[in-house]
Amino acid sequence: MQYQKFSHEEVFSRRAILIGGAQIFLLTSLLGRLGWLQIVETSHYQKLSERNRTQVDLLAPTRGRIFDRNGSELARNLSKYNLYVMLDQVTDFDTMIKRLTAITPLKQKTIDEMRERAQTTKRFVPFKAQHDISWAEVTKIEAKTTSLRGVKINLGEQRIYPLRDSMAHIVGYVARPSEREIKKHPLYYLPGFMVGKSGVEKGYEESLRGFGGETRYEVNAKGQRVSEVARIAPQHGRELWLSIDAKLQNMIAKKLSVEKRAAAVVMDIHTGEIIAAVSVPSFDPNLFAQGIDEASWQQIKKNPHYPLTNKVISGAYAPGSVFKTAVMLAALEKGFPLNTKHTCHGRIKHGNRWFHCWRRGGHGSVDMLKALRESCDVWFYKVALALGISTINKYAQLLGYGRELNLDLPDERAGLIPSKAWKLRKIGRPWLISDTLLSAIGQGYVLATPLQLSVQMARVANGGFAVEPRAVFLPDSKKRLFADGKSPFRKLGASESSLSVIRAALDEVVNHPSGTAYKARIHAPARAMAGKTGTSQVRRISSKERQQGILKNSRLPWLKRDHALFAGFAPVADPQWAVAVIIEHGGSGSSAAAPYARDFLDFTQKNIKPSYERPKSNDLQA
Amino acid sequence: MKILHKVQQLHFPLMATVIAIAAIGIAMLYSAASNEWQPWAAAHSTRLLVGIMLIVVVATIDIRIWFKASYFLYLVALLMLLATLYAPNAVSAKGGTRWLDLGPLVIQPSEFMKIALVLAIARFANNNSLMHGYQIIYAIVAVTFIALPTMLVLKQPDLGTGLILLMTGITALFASGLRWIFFVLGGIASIATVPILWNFMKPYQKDRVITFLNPNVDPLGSSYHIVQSKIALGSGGLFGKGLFQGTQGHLNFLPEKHTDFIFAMFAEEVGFFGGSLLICLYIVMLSLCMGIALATKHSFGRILCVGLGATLFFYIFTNLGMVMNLLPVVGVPLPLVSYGGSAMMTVMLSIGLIINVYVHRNEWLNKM
Repeated sequence: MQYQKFSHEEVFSRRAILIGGAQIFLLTSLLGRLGWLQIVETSHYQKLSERNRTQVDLLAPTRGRIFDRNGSELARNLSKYNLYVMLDQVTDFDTMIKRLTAITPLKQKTIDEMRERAQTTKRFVPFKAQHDISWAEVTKIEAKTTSLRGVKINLGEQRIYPLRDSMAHIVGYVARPSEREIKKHPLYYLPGFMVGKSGVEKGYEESLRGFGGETRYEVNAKGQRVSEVARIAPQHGRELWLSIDAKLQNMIAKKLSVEKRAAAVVMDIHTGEIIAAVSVPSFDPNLFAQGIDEASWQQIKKNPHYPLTNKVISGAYAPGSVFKTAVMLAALEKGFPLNTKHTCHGRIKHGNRWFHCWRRGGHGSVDMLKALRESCDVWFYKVALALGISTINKYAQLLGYGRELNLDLPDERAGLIPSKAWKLRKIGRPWLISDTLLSAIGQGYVLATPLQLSVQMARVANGGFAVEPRAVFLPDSKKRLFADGKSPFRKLGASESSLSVIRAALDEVVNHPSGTAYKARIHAPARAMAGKTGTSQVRRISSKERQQGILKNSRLPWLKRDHALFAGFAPVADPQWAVAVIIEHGGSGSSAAAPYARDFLDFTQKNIKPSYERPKSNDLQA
Repeated sequence: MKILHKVQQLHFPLMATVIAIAAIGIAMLYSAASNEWQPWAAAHSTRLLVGIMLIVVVATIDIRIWFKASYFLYLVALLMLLATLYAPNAVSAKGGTRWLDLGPLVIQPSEFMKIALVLAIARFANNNSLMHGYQIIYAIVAVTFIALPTMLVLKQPDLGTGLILLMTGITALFASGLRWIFFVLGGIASIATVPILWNFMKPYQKDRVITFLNPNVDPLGSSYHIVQSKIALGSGGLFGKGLFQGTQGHLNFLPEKHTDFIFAMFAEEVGFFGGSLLICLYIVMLSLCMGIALATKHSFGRILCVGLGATLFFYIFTNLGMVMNLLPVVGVPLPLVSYGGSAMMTVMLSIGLIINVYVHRNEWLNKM
């Protein structure tokens, strides 16, 4: 037998060492495991441990107030007590409702909605049961917290917009974050916390929101709070000062309120500050801040005139004759002399198609100044043929057409300056000469926002600086730049002589007896306005219709009537303000849009001062 | 004065190690009670003092008395195990583990059996030298020694203790020199009988085995235990959160923190540094036991040391393995640290017997 080679003692010793060795080996491997957990994976478990023991209550910051350029409040906060029910914490729904209604009257609709929510979803979503409860109700509910499990009172801040409809598109509004938005910021989960949904409320959301604070509690395994570990105070949102002047904004909103769809903008031509921007129709942003009810929402949604759209930046229109300003700049820069003459017989033929002037009888012999003053389409057709579309587009883009102007508001549209490449790509057909002709009078594919029309005027009027619009008040450092006589904007690259010719032509449009806007001039010479009218067709006029006599606008159904436009600046002598007005389906620019523009610019000049001390415009150098 | 001479002969390093480990236990039980002596730390201290006296008494009794009493003690333990199953004074709690109510004393016969089994195997090995006779008969008798109590304990049912009894018995048998082939065959046989046994098992027994093998399906939520245990260990890091300052333990996230999961609490408070110190203390303790075994001249003492040491090892390993999520959750306490009277007394008795062997290492024990 194998074992007889060894003594019994030897066998034992060998096996004892084997057993002991195995034991030590196994215990040492436990050491390895311990090291793995405690050294390699420790940060992971430390996080889990912290999460276990801490409970964080977020403290909401107060949203920054919004002011106009004079310090009038455009948005403020009102502290309110709101009643919330944490549906996942309610044990007996009916008893809770019974007890709660004894304290504060709940609407039957609210109760039904809450019951349905309680039955369908188990998720942690606080349900807002009552809005703005009284202090007496608050004390009663707080006294009964133990019997009202899941009922919470939240000191919420409600956003108030004192100017209501007239400021709705610029300031925008706040509302509860959507399902998608709520994931973006932990504060959004707080009951009653609001997020900017449009206007500067959305554009400056981060700065207005501020930073949440928190209270950290240590909790035990049962979730009971053991102690307060730390408290970080919230950092309140910053105040926002807009360049808007509430007086002008109100005045414009009031005047335009008789129109179905309209938009107007007034801006400072040197700084780009928007002084007023009105879009009609409007809505009351307070409805959203309170949590809009279904009836009001349906009313806004079913309004055929798009009250929620800010037409100043989101409405893109054929600019019509207003666009001729850009074509004229192209002609001047390409060396066309002032006495470039063409004869207008009311129409020209290109290919087998007739292109008409708005004046059926024609303008006769037309030079450059007359062409703009009387808005002769034929003159511009002919000049456009000589210039070519790409030259026209180049100068149109210089003046701000065809791209977003980076206004600090959401949903700005770029408009459209159609090129050969664009047409081939989007429409799938080659560019035709007729497209160039239509572009030259701001029809066809050309689209511009009212903001772009006013920027065009501002760039012509300010001596050729590529001013960009902004809705937020200039900080002091920027103001100093202007005070020093320096514009922060680059030069457009258009010659001053061309620009001064255009300014003279725009002056004649309004102040020359044969000008299209003569009736809408400002009589006081010191406040005289310059500008360009536009009447843009929204339908095609067939040759048959022309033969039978074109229907008067007032006899057409409203939606087929022309858009009336006007864009200009004032005062003529030393320009300061630019304006653009569009009245959708309002008829002719000279009679439907220019009078509004006159009123707005007149009011602006009488009542509003620039935000900085500026030397004479001629001293402004880049 | 023979007694005094024997007291001088006691193995003081082993005793010191035991006291050091138990002291850690006291500190942790103090911490577990939110830094209070009551209810656990005070009782544990008292038990430590009683335990030390027990060690001295057990160690100084003549080894021949233990030798002669071996079979008798085994028989008594076996009868008590039977009584837990069939006697009217059996007390059951915690889903199976059973106690016997003997008037003033409530004892756990399975604890007592751990020592009695090793004593019985040691005596049997001492009397039947494997140099002579047939190993088969030796094996059959020895396996019977192990099988009887194991089956009774499993029937209670207490799977953890049953398996430890089985493993302890097999280790003792292996140390006694039984040929390798028996262990290999035994291993194969037990694997082969698993499917057969499975068919004879009742559904609830099957459930229990499944739960044992896969703690994730445990309906009692032992996965919560193990998750919290890992968080406690892991968040302890290298040096821990500070003695008496563990958050997992003090805020009650850690379940059974004064009994089965006490090591997690310890390692949370003192980190890898302290945790490995305790494991090293256990390694020292087991190595000293093994050293005594190797220094002993008689088979009885040697098998006794290896067997009792194995019991301690299996407890330590099973508990730590469970806490570190390497083994399934079985209710096994950590020797000398976990709170519990019966377990503490069993450990002290075992250490007492090992030191007894050390004191009597040079005696010559005849076949009896």
